[in-house]
Amino acid sequence: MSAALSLEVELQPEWRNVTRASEAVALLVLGTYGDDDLRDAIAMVSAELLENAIKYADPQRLVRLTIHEDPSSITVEVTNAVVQPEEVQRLAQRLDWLKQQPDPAAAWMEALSLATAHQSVPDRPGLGILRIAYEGSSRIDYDMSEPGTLTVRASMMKAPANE
Amino acid sequence: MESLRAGDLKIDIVEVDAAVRLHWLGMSNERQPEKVLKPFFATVLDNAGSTNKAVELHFEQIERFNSSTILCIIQLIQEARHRNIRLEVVYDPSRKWQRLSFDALRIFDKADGLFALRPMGDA
Repeated sequence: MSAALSLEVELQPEWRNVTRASEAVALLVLGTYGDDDLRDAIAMVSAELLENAIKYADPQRLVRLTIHEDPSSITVEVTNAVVQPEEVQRLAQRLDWLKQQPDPAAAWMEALSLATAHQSVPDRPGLGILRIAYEGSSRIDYDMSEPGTLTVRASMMKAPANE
Repeated sequence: MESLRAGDLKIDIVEVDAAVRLHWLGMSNERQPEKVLKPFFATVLDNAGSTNKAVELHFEQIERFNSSTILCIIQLIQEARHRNIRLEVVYDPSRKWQRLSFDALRIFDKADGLFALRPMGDA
């Protein structure tokens, strides 16, 4: 039986820390589970959540990355100080849109199709969220239970032990 | 044409008789990857167009890329089609993330034959 996956780290909201943290996560997951696909998935989820957080974070306050597991799932959480309320609004809209799609794969492909309608590549908040749902097979939610902060949470179900 | 080096990403160029091959290595994790990829892709397409070659994107060895990079790849697919240049994406289907990422790009596979997805190992 593998050891429980557990990590909590606070980071300066600097772009280079996305890769540093996701590489550390990749090593941790590989060391815990020895599973390359799970390593890639959790590293991707961590990186996409951190990218979104750092784009909109208060540059004076740390971003927190937490990973934990229970018997049925692995959860990645990223918490940042909210300085742009529209960040939360965009996230809520994206998650509402996701719920209206048949499934995460359909949502992802629809988002890619919509992206082709634009001539330039915009900074498109929310695409990473859809990728997490599709490629990371994760359920996504968020809360603002800590005043002035946003926590975005991605939970992926573990594969049954006999698979 | 010269290879591209930008941060943790390297794209090597290999020209063969019928194609310009771009081998992606490392990680594409820039905040705004389009700043380096867009001019690089423009040069690649100019070269492929003037020499009547296809473009092959080889992702088999890349470790990972962010969602902003995916948008750049989509833009390249569209621009190649607009210029009537055949573009093929080659990936490693044994890696789940690559299988999922690239399988989604099948939405760009049209009857014109200008875009193709090829799992590594397929002829």
